[in-house]
Amino acid sequence: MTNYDLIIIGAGPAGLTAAIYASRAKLRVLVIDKSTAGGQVKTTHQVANFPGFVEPIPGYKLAQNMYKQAQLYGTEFKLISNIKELYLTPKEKWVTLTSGEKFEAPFFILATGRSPRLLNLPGEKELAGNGISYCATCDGDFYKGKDIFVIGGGNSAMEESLLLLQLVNSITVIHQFDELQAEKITAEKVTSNPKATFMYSHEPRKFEAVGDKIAVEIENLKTHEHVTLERDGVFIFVGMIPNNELIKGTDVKLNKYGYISINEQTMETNIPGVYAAGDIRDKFQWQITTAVSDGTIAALNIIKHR
Amino acid sequence: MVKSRSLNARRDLVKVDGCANFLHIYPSEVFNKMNYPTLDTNLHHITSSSELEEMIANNEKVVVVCGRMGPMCVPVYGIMELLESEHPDIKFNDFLFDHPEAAIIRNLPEVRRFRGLPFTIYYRNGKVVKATSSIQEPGDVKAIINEVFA
Ligand SMILES: Cc1cc2nc3c(=O)[nH]c(=O)nc-3n(C[C@H](O)[C@H](O)[C@H](O)COP(=O)(O)OP(=O)(O)OC[C@H]3O[C@@H](n4cnc5c(N)ncnc54)[C@H](O)[C@@H]3O)c2cc1C
Repeated sequence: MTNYDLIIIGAGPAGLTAAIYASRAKLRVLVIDKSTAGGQVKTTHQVANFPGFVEPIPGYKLAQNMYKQAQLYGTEFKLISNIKELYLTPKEKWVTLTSGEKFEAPFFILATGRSPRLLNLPGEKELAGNGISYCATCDGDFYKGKDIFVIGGGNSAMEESLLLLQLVNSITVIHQFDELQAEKITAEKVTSNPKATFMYSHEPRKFEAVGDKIAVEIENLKTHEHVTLERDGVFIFVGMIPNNELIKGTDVKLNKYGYISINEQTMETNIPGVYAAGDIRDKFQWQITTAVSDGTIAALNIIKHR
Repeated sequence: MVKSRSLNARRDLVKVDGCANFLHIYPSEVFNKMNYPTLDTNLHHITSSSELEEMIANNEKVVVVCGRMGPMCVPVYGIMELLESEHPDIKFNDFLFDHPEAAIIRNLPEVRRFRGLPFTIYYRNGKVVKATSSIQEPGDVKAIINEVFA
């Protein structure tokens, strides 16, 4: 067992900011992440609204800078490390990794963020990267002049559709509701484009490769009729979910949507000594600036109380 | 070998806008004259097809991540950078997808159906033993390495 002053789970902007503050205050800090450092920011094309960068900064660069800054002040990292067990009580707090290592600390910050929602339909995982995509900026080029499906009707789905419309021959949007959920101004740009058609009140049920095409079985949610249509590719943008699997196994209180309930003044959860920061906590604005703010508040409270 | 330069530093020359507007695929001689960029990673950068051929001829276990500096590619480079220290017997490399000589990867039969960057190719004894398309979870990459390089 190795002891730390503070263990942070999640190396996104919230976790890295807390690490910078706590390490500068000479706490011995360990950050654990199942992936590499940077969280959602490392997968963001360009960040234009983080103060201090006049020109948009590529997300991966901003993530690298935050990581290097935490390292510089002495934060220790366990990256691409899977957590086996997380034990959080007022008196005792520790975490074990699948590698067998065990770490203990009087303070924990949970900063596990959010991830894009998958549909978890048959064929989805198998065809990811082979006809199913989650990133228009990355993979749109493979569909130049082709016919594709876009699944989802929220902001991200419509913003990505606008990009795809510059490349593809046609887009068929499959959306579960009767109207798009995206902001009107963006939605109208897509609906007014002659290359876009819409299947409202429909949901996909299954994906299958048929030659070079993807066959999608689609259900009409009103009539429950199923139809199978083929396109060259499918882009899925159906929102985000909190990364709370690990936390569900503890007594940390979650709200009804699966986000961690906290005291907004301190970021402390219902368990004394356990804090939450960033996208994983109960909030309405999921941004880098709000994540770094949460990380700051949590770290400063821990520094004050240790 | 061309020195490592970030894509952004070369934006003026190759009209790269992250990966939203794709690098044009230039004829080799034009692209070479541009002093083309390498990817902004800590991996070894492959910069020609002959270098790749030499790499796989002289090393038993080789991984090449062929992509851009885009949201799906960056995490895969990061995973490989971290795994590099754990696997000194494996040569980890990247190769700019838009480099004309990356055709050696773009034209592999194993990637014919691929529609997502990066293309990650695992070679053993000069042969492709596994190829994946798009972003991968660290656990999946570790599992592939354990399977194909055991
Ligand atoms: C495509 C995209 C574009 C965006 N653009 C912008 C923008 O331009 N401006 C802006 O302000 N915001 C933007 N955001 C939102 C912003 O990225 C997030 O609000 C921010 O990253 C949240 O930070 P975080 O640290 O709370 O969580 P995250 O960034 O989600 O990081 C959480 C970390 O926790 C790790 N983790 C999760 N579960 C576990 C576990 N069980 N064990 C160990 N580690 C775990 C994850 O691997 C991850 O590294 C964008 C988001 C996306 C997806």
